[in-house]
Amino acid sequence: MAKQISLAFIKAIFKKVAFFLVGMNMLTACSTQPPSYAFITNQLDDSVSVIDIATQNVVKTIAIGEGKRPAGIATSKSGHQAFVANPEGVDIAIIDTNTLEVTNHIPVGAGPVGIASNDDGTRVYIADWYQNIISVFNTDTSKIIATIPVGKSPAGLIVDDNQHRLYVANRDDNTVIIVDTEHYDVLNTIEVGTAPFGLALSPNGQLLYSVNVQSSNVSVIDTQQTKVVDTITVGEWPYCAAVSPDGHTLYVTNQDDSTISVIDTRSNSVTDTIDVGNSPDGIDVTEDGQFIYVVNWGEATISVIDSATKKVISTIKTGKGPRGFGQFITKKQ
Amino acid sequence: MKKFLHFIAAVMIAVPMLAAAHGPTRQMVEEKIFIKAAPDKVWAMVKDFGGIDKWHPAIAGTELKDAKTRVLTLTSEGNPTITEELESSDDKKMTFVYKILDMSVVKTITFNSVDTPYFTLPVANYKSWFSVKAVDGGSEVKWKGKFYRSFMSNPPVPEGQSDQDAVDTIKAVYTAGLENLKIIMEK
Repeated sequence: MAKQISLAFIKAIFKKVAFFLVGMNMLTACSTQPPSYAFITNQLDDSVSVIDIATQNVVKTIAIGEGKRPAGIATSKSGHQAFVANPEGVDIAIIDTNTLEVTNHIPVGAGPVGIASNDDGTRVYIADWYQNIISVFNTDTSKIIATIPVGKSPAGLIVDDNQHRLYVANRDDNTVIIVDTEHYDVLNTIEVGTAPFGLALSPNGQLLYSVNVQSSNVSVIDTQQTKVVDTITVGEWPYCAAVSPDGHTLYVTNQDDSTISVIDTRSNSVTDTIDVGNSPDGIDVTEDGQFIYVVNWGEATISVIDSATKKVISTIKTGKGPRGFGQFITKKQ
Repeated sequence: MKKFLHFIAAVMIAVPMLAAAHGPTRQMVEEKIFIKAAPDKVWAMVKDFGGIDKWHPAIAGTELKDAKTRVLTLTSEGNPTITEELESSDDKKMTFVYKILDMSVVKTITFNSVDTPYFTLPVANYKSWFSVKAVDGGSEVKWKGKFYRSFMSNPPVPEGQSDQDAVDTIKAVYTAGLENLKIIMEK
């Protein structure tokens, strides 16, 4: 009898352990919920390609709506939504990063292109190319709660929650401005190169990089001194940039050279130039810093670069006219 | 009164647009043609920056301002012009890169109460790559351009000035040129 009880007891324990182990296994197999994705806006296909970072495969193509022409993309550190700016649709589309479905369209401005989110995804900032304003969207109430007048043709945006700041590249003013995200005031205006478009921020928030399309260089801005401390010459017609998680490397897309400039941020010098697909546009780095995703606008592909070997290790097909303008890779939850 | 306020609001929105940017989306056109002729002969013909009128049927004449700047006069009505600058030319790679500096205004219309110019081509920030490559039995000639539409403001866009119009126009320019180049070189 005692033996039987103990056997039943052991069986019960075993079942519990087995269940626990299966549960653990599932967690490992799926990494986490949801996995890390790249959301690539396909401007000429009116869609978003969703790439699973773990497998480097397109797992879904999300229709955004005919004629919307999605360009800008924003993800957040801990939120479960991705935000798509549609310049021709004159709205933003909100994607649930769990279900990969569009949950809402919110009309905004006259030409939304640049878009960025704060860390938890509660505030989204949308740059309007034509109206020269930034709209502030509250995702909890689904309302535009403020508009901030900025310079001409605002493009790239970066939010720094720690400093309560929003950085804006005003393409046709050749300036980058610092906006206080608590009072929506413009704190500083900084002159940069010609036609600043993409922005990138070092992980500690100390250095801001402005990619200047028509002067083929990058302005390095010290965010505390609020001035340009260095200028780095890159390739022809550079568009966007991304910084490695350790802050030591900056990657810049050179659209008319079809290359990436790799910059050592301690010396601000170009250490490598990597050939990618035709006309690279948007760029982002995976959370672990291992892979760099380059969106090749000219040929509708992504070049995936291994950051250790600085070589393209795979090429992923997207929809037509991919932009990926913004931080398009989600973090693991 | 309400209507009037709407009008004022519309004007207030419209005014800052006057100095606004080109369209937000860069466009690209790429055309290729196979020519049954030696690559060096084709290259010799096309690399002459002041001689495009020898092979492009839409161009009536070329005037070289200096070695790197040419003014093209088109055959179309009113003989509109395009001023272009040679950025680089490489005999080894058989490629050259040029951009449009300026164009004549063909006409100006009033669109949404704003003077809107029509340029020789409905493009802005135009840059182009021309190359000749040796292929089996001849040459492959490639002409690529990247540009924005010329219309500066947000939609609605006046007739003939949309992104698609810009793409279609450049495509027609390239196709006409390449087809005639083929005829001339294969003679």
